[in-house]
Amino acid sequence: MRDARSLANLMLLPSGLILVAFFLLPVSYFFVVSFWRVRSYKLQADATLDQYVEVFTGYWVPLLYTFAVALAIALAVTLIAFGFAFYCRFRAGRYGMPLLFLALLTLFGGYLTKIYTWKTILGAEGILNSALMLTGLTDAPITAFLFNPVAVVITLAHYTLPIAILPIFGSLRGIDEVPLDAARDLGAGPCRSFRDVVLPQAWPGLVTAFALTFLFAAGDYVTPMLVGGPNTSMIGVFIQSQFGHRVDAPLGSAMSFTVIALSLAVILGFAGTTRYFTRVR
Amino acid sequence: MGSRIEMGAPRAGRTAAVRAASPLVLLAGVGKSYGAMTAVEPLDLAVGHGEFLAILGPSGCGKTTLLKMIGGFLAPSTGTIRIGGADVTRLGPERRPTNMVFQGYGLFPHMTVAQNVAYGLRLQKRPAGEVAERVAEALRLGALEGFDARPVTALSGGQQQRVAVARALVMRPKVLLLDEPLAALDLKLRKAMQEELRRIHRSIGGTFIFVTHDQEEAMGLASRIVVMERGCIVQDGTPEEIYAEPKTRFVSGFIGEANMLPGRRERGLVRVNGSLCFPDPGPDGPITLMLRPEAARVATGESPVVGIDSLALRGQVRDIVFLGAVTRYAIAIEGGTLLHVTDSDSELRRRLEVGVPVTVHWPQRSHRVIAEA
Amino acid sequence: MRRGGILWHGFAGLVLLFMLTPLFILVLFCFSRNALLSFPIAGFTLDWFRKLFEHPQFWPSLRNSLIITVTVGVVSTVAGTMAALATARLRRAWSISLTLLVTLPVMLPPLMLGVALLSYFASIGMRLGLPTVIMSHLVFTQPFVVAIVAARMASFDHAAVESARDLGASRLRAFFNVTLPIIRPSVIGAALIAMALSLDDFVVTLFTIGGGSTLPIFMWGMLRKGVDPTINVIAVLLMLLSIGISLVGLRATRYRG
Repeated sequence: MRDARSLANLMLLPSGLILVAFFLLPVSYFFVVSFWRVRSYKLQADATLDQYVEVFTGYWVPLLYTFAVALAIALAVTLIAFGFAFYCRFRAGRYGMPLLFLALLTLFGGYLTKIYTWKTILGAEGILNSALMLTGLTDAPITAFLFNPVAVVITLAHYTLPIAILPIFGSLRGIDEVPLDAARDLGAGPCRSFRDVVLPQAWPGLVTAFALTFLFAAGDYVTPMLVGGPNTSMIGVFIQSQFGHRVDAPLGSAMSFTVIALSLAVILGFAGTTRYFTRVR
Repeated sequence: MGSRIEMGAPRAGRTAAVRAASPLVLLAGVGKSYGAMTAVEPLDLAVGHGEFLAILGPSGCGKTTLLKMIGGFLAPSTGTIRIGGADVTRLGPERRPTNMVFQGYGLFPHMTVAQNVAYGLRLQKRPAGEVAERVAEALRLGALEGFDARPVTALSGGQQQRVAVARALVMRPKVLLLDEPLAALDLKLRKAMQEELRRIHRSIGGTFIFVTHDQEEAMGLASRIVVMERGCIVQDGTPEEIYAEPKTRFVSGFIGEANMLPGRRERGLVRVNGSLCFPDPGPDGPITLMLRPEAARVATGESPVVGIDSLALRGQVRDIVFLGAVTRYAIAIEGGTLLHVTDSDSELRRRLEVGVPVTVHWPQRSHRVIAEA
Repeated sequence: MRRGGILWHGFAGLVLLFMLTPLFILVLFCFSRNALLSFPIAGFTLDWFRKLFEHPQFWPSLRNSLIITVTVGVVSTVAGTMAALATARLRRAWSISLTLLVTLPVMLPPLMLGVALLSYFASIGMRLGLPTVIMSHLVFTQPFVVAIVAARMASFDHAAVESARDLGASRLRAFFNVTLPIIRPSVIGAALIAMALSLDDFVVTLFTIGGGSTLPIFMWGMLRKGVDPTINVIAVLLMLLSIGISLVGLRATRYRG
């Protein structure tokens, strides 16, 4: 037995090494950096909360904006993903699995590719405008499609939708259909059995989908840069610039951990609220 | 017993005449077909108050479809269903006075035992006090006291089965439907649960309809058995009737063990296996002689004594299996057909061994001659 | 439950349309003669492919992408599979918390992972280049390997391995003769999914590669210069590569989350 235990430890070693050396250590170091400061382009060890103060005083607008956009995306995507997964599981019969497969194909469509595609679709000389003008619906290109928050929401929703469908379908797949019949037998209509039997069991999938979508949206910077335009300054853009021309790692770090901490708070809030509404009464 | 859970029906023990006059469940011409495929041929069935009815048949015979139509999970293609006099043909399960114990139980996996049992009452918006009282009562009936707060996923198969029964019975249905209620349990547990179900049926005096493919289960539980084959009811009667007087070859083969000997009837004379010939009135044509293993006797010696109204066939012992209470002999009769005979006589067992010539005999009244269609 | 009404079908149709149309449009336009991405399409051509293949940066980027993708695929599959096998023999509570720990990096947005690794590599004086990119990709590809192989191990019949040992096979032999053949589809699938993720990554790569280039980085450079139909071609190439790899991967594992 002792032999088996040490073998298991040995087998965990490479994986653990990757986790510690390239994830836990970097993230911990990066967290410590958020309490440091930069003097004449050099990092200096310190123990100051200045960076966090700076984040909340100087960057509260993009922070707020980021969370509003991320929340809109996460809520919309979770809802739509749930609808689609529910359809595939309970309403589409034998077409459910092929339809789900089609949707999940786009999971690997390419990150930059998708953003770029939406930029070309929504642009002033882009596909949507030229199609509208060709069909005579408009005379001049509509510039309002691109470089606004809606474009960011659409693009990120498109990217995160398959990511959200996956865990939700996973939890719906585990729901046995016999208890649904049992609920009806005991007097529940379709809405009641949905609320009492389906939702509580789908809850873990919903929370996972919301968390993945929210974190991704809150931490993204390429989408706002490419389709968001100058007025959609999401916090990711500022984080990224601290490591580009501004070289202020402590501030960038403080921003990152602020975003992560607040995101976790939002996710916990979502989990708690939805748990309350799906609890067994 | 004084259990306060009772089903919305008069107490069992009313006369048969009352039952026949106003059956609780009445199916008239009820059938179900999917396109060209017919699951249940249009059939009639009446179930009286207090009956414990088994619908018995092999898989695919339409028994579960029939039960689901009674419960309201499937709409019949033809016919009407009445429960307690009211036409429920078009009502969904949530509006019928029936409750179901599902195959695999269909418990709510995210709820505790008590939450499962209370669910239907909560939907009816019963006062909390009444819910608690009736749930406690149902749990006591299912011998589940103390399990209230357990998650149902942490229970054993037998316990889950009892939760499913309690969850249905707490609703005080006019009819309790059970779909293969014991199929998921192992043999020992199945025997125990049979007793449990009989006890519950006795103590509340309700009407139970259950579906099974297991003839022993049907015999052990039901007061009346309906045998189905290929969407049709082929026989309807008490377990004793069905065992002793199966109407078709299928029923006799399906219920208990039986020896089947093919033969012909011509002008009131039945001939079986070449040597056997006896009078038996009925239409001419091919017949099957059905003989239960325990109905025949084995005799040794050149000219054994058999009763005057008995039939006898000569043969040779091929196999002897000691089963505890009885011993089973396989005897090859003339023509090579194997007859199985069970006997509890230990003295006989000592005298017989494989290869010994014997005579198999039985009184005429203990076999059945079944005309082949 | 009733089968869905017209509203349900319509909703699902719209969702699929939203998800798939952009990708179709992209494929369509990489064969279009138009210099601008707009209707009407003036005709079809393969010129953009030729232009891309003649681009001086294309081949080095492709080479780097392949080096990174294959190395990451192999290393994360070996490490992740070993970890999944080890956790499968642990007690349930342990294996769950270990799996959670390993999958933690997936929750971190790529931007944060990228800048954290950038600062870390700078602080320990490691030069940025392909090795640092590979190390970084291992962090977020390994969790998928562990999850996929662990899911397979959950329904694994350990008696098969024990009988091999009983018949005289050493631990290692039993692994190669019994365990690996049984779980091979899952392992291959996990490797392909890890490769698809690595190939597609842009954000983490951008921060950890220093001066070099991969296909997504190359595409990013062209994107910043403006609209050029060769971008369509490289986008489609990337898309087809990653969809192709993951299709084969999903097929192999039948993994659905």
